[in-house]
Amino acid sequence: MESVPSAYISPESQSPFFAIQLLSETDIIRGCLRGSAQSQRLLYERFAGKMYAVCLRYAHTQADAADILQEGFVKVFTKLGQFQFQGSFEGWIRRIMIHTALRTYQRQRYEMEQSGYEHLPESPVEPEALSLLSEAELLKMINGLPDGYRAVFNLVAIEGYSHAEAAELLEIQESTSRSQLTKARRWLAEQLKLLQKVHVASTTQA
Amino acid sequence: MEQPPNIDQLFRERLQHADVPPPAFVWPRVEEELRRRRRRFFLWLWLGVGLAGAGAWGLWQVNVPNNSLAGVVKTTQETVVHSPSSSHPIPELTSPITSPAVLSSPNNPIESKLAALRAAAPQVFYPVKKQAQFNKPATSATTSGTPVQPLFTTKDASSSVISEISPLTYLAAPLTFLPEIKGGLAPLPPAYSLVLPKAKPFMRKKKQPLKNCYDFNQHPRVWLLDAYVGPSLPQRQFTATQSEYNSYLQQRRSTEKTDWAFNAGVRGSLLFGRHFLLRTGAHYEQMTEVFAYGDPNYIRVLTEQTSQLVDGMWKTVTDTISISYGEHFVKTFNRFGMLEIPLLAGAEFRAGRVGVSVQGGASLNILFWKRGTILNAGGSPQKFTPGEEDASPVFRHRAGWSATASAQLFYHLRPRFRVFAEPYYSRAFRPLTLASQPVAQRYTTWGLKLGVTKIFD
Repeated sequence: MESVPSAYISPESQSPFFAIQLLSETDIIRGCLRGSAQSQRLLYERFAGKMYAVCLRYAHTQADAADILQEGFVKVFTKLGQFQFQGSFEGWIRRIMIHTALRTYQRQRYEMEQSGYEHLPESPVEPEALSLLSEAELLKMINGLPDGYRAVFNLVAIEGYSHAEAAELLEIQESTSRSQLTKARRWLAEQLKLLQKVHVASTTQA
Repeated sequence: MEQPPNIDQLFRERLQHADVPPPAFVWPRVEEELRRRRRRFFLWLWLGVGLAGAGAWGLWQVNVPNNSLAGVVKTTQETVVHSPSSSHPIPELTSPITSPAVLSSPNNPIESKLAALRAAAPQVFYPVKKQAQFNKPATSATTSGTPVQPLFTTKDASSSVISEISPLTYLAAPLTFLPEIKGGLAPLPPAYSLVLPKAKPFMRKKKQPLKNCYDFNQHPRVWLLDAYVGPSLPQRQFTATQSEYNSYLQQRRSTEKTDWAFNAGVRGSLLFGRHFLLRTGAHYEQMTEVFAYGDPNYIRVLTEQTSQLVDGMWKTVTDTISISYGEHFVKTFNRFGMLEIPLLAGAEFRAGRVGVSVQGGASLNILFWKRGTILNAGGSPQKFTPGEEDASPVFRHRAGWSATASAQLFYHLRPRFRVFAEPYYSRAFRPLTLASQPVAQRYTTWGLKLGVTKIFD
């Protein structure tokens, strides 16, 4: 009987990404509960990208987003025993990330208030066609929002939280949440309108 | 202003399920943090087990009976005799023994005492060091016509006078020919000493400044809950109420030694204005002292009495066969437990994860339990445990107020979780002893509280 040549085993099959394809979500969670480092790595690889995108929406900078992602995953692994295997596991992780990000946001908000520095919108995004806007550019646009606007817009417009829930999470009045969402929409609409004008002008010149 | 109607939808569709590869350095950091928390968990687990064990041992110490030599003490009440220099001579036994003929007289008071002692002999039998003087048991003999089971025959059994021996009895009498023991009350070495385990070095590899600081600027008014335990070093002061009791005071000092002590408690604190503290709670302090007393004037005389029928008459001959002295001693572990409510005010100052606080105030004693034995003014061991038989009150029912102050060094392991070490000082305003006692006894306590703090906002 001929032995299987070593080249027959593809390198991809030994990577964590390949293992993600084979193991179910429940298996990975149970492995993490047993303390398996490999399962923790698999869980991280499966959800890190999506959660990093969430963190980027709430954070000022990529460094802040990386810190939030790190702190959030540490919470996920330490509180994994509280997951009841009911509902979406991704939704459970997402809530942890959002809470971690909001806590960081509240801390930073207080520091800025203490220093008398109010975060102002950055310069408008570079002119590109609206249809060509990438996710990264949309994230950059959201990052340009002031802190209060950004948090409310993320929670209500993107995550689907109600104003009451957002107000409770952010420790603000519900009316404040509504007004900040309106201002955030207005600011984003101005940015999009500017992008559309630039796109039309560049098309005409061409 | 014109506004895209579906701006929420645009961002939601594009970003809600976006997937952006995270930086590569995040996962190693997560792994390191998880390892660090696991180490910390086991560290606290062992600390908790140690504290629980110390608490259980402390409770066991509270409930364990005194290690007094009860047999010796009990027997002493019946047979102990002090020399003439003792402050408690027994009146009926102060007259010297004259002769066997006198002893044999039925009206002799000593004879009646001997009869009583003879009846009580089985209960008061001592381990006699000089038993080697005796041979095997002989047959029966009588002293007053009643058959008595003989115990021993003497070495002189070959003589024609004394052939059988009656039961051993004790005759207590002042013996002036014995050498006087000098040197006073010899203090006994302490039976126990407090041995603390060596602290293990903290295993954190690198500092992460400002990571685990609690934001007191954001929450200038918070509640703190402390739990602590630690060793104490009580210092006892004796004061004679009158100069004539100075010798008794010296006896007290020489017979009582501080052994070990510990403290434990829980405390709630209100931190307001970011720096100011009001603290109260329950503080328990337990002290153990060793009372060791040896009576140098103690003399024990072992005599034997032989009755013999001579010429139709019973004659009784008494002989001294054993004398021991200076061996009578009492040793007890005196314990004092105090439960107090501290009322403290102070301030704390922080720099990153580290900080110090100082506080001072008064403590009100709400429970003072005591158990043990001391030397009374008459020179005899005296129990003071309330409710115990033969005990007499020595200490007050409550210890009253005391002044206390401490300085705490704390470190934030997490934003809402601290560990701390807090040296403290406490001094009672009044003596613990009753006003009628010839020697006043009061305490000044130094101690160390080792504990944890949880912050609630």
